[in-house]
Amino acid sequence: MKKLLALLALAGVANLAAAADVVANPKAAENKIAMCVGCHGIPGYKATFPEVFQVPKIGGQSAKYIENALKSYQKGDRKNPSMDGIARGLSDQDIADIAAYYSMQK
Amino acid sequence: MKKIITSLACVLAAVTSFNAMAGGNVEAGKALVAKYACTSCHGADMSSPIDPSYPKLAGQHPDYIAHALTAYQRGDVGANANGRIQPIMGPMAKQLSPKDIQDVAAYVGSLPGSLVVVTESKFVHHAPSN
Repeated sequence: MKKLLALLALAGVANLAAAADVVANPKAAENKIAMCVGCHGIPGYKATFPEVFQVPKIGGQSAKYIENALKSYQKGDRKNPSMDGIARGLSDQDIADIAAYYSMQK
Repeated sequence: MKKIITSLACVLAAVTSFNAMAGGNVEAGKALVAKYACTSCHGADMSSPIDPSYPKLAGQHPDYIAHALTAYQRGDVGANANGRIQPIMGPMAKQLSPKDIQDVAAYVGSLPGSLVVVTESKFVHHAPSN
């Protein structure tokens, strides 16, 4: 029992450490958004599959939601032929940086 | 100058025809947003969600909102079609008719919000040449 508790405590510490590794750096995002601006930086830009729709406005969106969306594409809970590929190329750090960058746009 | 006016007229025409195409009814959408209590998660102004992992929606493109709702309706449909698996929005969206979706999208998109498209400053725009 004691061992189990110790293990759980260790796991907790490891978890915290992993979470602490990712600190969003919106400045770093400036070199990571080349794939984003080609669609999300053009007013009125449209995508398809199968509806034809304007790609969402992501400037000013909450960072946590952007992070959520990108991770959902990675997991496959959310599917879009373009965004699937782009999201899978991003690390957790990239996602945090990009989410912070877009959330700060006004 | 004439060219500028012509292009402005073109843009205006495009915007107008787009709005006509979207065709949602704002008033009907407002009633649906109240009926399904969208604001209980997305915030009274649809722009201040109760949890940061939920999106701000006020002022989002109506056709994108319609697409997102349709994707939630589709659910899991394999790798090559847009679907979204989401425990809250899936059942919510499945109650909506295609007309409901257009109406909700028109209303939510018409609300004032803080979402923006910032044009990349490095882009160079050339005038169309024909």
